[in-house]
Amino acid sequence: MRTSRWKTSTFMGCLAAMAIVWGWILPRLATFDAVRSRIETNRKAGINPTAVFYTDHPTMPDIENRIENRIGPRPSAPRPQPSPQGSILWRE
Amino acid sequence: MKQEHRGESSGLPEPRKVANPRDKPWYQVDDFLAMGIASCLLLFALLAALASRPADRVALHEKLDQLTQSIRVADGSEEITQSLIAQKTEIEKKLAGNLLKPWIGKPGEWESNPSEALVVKGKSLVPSILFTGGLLLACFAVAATLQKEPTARFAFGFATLFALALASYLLAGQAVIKHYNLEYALWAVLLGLLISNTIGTPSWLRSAARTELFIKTGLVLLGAEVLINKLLALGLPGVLISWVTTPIVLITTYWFGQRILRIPSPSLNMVISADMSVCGVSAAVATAAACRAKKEELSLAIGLSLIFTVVSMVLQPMVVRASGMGPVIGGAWIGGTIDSTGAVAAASELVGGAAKDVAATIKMIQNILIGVISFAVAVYWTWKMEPRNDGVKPSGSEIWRRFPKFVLGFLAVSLLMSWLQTQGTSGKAMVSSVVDGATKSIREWCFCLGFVSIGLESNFREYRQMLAAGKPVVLYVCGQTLNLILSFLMAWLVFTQWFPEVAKSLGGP
Repeated sequence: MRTSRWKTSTFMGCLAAMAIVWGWILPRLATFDAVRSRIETNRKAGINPTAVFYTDHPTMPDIENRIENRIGPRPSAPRPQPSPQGSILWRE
Repeated sequence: MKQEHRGESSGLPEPRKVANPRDKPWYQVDDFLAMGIASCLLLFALLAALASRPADRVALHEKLDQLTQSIRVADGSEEITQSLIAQKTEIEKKLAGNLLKPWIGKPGEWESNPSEALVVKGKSLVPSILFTGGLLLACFAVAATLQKEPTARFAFGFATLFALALASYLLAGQAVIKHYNLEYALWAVLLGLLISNTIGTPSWLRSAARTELFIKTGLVLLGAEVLINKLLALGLPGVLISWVTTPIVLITTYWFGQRILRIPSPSLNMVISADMSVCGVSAAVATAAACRAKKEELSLAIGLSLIFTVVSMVLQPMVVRASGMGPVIGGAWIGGTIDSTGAVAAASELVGGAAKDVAATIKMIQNILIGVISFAVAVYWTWKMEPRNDGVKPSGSEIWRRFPKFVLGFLAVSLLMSWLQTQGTSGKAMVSSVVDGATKSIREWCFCLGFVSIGLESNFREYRQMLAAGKPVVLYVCGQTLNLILSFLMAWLVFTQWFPEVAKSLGGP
């Protein structure tokens, strides 16, 4: 059986390790060229790499508009344009 | 998700106990409470969206329609088209404002000092984080009171839980961690595990750790983001790549895990298969809740997904560039195989050209699939996998009793918002206002609280047992290999043989 002192020491040890990793190692790692370049590339392109779902991705509306423009119908096949006045919840 | 421990000898599905909602009134059942809380939050967000409509909205809608027409007829340079698209996006953002947006927040990114994460563009995020915590506390405290939990005790435990969720966001927000896609889910589970496996989870904190309630509330809110009409964003090519390949990979991987690897837990097998083939964390959460997987099974599947995603987002762009696949096929391949949207965008950005747009759109179409997948899994589990009464086929009422009702709430919200999205530019603006302005961030907090709760209720021993003989890892690797092959074949067929004109308009050769 592990004593409560052992458990508390393990917990405190893990917290100390986390403080070292997040407070010292990772900030230094962020200055390495390869890592810096990845971070800057993502920032410049407006990418949030931790986006879980498509709605979490900040530039998704731009991407949708670009794709719609590239493969959407041309003037020869116009789509019906719904009017804002026609909307049930948005009636003016 | 259940906590019961199951035997692991036969390799066949073990009989499992189903929580009997008849034991307690409906208003104490997590599924109904989750639907109630999510409905209130959605209604709140909808009312805030209606109240936030800009005064010049009619003029803005007209300008938006004009811009849409101008973009369609523009035969000028790419630069002019891009400028028109940027203007259109800007107006869409103006129309999608929400009063709640400044009040619903979560920490951002930081590099050397965690306090940087609490300030964005010179504005402190602390009030919005506190408001979000207060809003969630109010909602979940009502649920806890209905479930006969002392309110003050729950509130104290919830405040601690929220602080742990905040710490998880801060750990995930460090620039290196964030840009290598180690999401908050991982840190939330690990923080919880650290407490439960060292000093132990105190009873007052355990009573606030309502994993099922948090996750199911988050899933019903996620329904607002599952917009069916997005399915056609890339036309038939997108449907073929995302909605044909993915179910084949999912079913084959599940079959492989049950029949060849003989993974003792069918729910673990299903959660890993779904998170690997569909869209990572969100698919894992949805299917785990639909098939009542154990908490440890969900966190193991998410851990596997995150580790392999880091590897994929480094290696796959290299393979695309080295093989000369091109941005369209390469983008579709990355979008169809890397688990999370953020990782897909980051990996495809390294390929360049149109790869990011194609990859993110394929992933978006795949994201929509989780509605269908979670419903199908819930039906299959209720019908086929739950224990039968002495071999007798369960009656209709018995099936209804066992069915995870929150899935119906998830689908209802999804259908409602999909319908709203089709109501012209105004409907689209309303959906964006509700989702971007409020429910998206609340959903993320709910999931984060759920993941911390999973960690607080789990034991490392469980993970050792599940990882015995490395079967979950073998399952993931084999399934992902099949996914990589089939997705490439489908992308190649679609963009070179069946729809080469679409590939050309997307920026392909």
